[in-house]
Amino acid sequence: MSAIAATPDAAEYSTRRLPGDQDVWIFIIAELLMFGAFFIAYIVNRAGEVDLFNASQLTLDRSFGVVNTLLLVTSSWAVVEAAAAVRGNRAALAPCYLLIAIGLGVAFIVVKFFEYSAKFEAGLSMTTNTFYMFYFCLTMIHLAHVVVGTIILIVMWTNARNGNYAAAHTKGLETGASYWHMVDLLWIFLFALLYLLR
Amino acid sequence: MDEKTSLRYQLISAWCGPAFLVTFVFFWGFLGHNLPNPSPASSAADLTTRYLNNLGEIRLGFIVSMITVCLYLPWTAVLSAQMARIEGNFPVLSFLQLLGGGLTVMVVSFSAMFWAVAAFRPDRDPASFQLLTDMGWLCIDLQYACTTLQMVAAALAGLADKRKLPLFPRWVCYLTIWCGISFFPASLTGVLKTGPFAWNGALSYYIPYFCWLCWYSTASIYMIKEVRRRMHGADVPATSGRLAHGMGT
Amino acid sequence: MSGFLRDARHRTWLLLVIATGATFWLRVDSDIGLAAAAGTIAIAYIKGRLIVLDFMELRHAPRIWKGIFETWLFVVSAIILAVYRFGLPAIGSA
Repeated sequence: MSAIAATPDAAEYSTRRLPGDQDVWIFIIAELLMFGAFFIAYIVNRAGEVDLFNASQLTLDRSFGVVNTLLLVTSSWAVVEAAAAVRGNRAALAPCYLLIAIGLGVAFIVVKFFEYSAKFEAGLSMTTNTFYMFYFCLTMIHLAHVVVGTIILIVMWTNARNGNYAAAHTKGLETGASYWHMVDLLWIFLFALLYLLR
Repeated sequence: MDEKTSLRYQLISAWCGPAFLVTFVFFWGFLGHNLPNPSPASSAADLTTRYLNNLGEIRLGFIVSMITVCLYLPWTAVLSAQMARIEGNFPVLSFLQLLGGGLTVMVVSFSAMFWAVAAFRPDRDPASFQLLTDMGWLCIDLQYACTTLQMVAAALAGLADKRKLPLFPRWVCYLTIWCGISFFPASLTGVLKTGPFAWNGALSYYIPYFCWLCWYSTASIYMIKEVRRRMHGADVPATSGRLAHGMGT
Repeated sequence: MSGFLRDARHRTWLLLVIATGATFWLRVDSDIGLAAAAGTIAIAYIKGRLIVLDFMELRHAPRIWKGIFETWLFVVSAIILAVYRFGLPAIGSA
């Protein structure tokens, strides 16, 4: 079996591997293209009203954005650890890491709740101006992805607790993980555009 | 009905998909002056001029599109039957898809109806033109969820299709779910009057509608292929182990 | 601590945290300017690339998949920087 498989092609195949379900990666690419359009729409509209965008951006609390970035990045890291644990035959550790990831995802949602409340209390809303329209629309669409991602993590956690993942059986775990990392990746750009770029 | 006749009707129904696509873009889109569509921020007077300058085309476009939109129905019916074959005894997803498709026709149809009403009495007061334009756009842009459910149901049935030659490839199913989700920004049209999330914006109109029609064309191609396979007897039954060999292959 | 950092996954995480801190510092300490904006976008690009390569594990994925994500990152970052710097009319006339 190994003697037959030892062609260069097979070696290439075994070293270069796409984790998870290939078809879900197409879904992820479609999501990236959609958000790419969101980002470009933002920067193009900003070019038309630079002063308004800069002035409005100052009213955002950047620490909310920084905290949320750290939460998502760390959550992604925990999911990576969970996958590494399963592959390294330490599958018993995976539920703990996934629980950490879920907790951080929920924390992101809670922080967003407080951030939105503060904005609404200050009388700011989607119809205030173009900047706030983008701020609310983009972060709310992203938040919907965080909610879906957290639900996927909970499903993965249940599976991990039931011992459904093993070193030879990681496809489901890797697929869910790729989606969660995508949510993280999109936030990195949203954070830079909405909170930082002036 | 003998099988040959049934298959012929199935093939015609599946071809109603491309027919819907072409007539929808031409009558609803071009003749109805929805490419580009009016801005929600334009004044009642501007909207009225828009109607009056293109009265004949707008009337023809929307009246005909209300007929041709029904080409969506046979297409939905054949997709339901194809999905029911995958699902077996309890075709819940097929029924959901059937309902979603039927209601999509009503949502699209009512949008054109409001605009046809606006064009019916050109001498009416500009505020009414504005009201009817708003009603048409919010009708089609806020009620997308039945279409999203139709798409998600079709995708879930497609993903559960374990035949050697499935109805839809798996990547088409995931794209279908994504296309269905791409409608969500359209809900923002209920609040916003300018920008990319308003009803004339890229992110609430052009991209989601394009995705919807993309899904629709891709699904049509695979549905026609599936019917053709069965016409040529090269089909592998969904649930039973009987192989339908022979018959011309 | 050095044991913790021997692991590539931990290093990636630490780099992401440091990069997030760097954007914070960059915005607080500098005036509005092209360098600060370019730095902000560059840091977002680098962070995105770390996530794609190390967290999504595309570093050792087939080249076509890795290439698609690398291209997305580069094109999105480049367009953001170009529109930031030149605005729209300049791009339209170029």
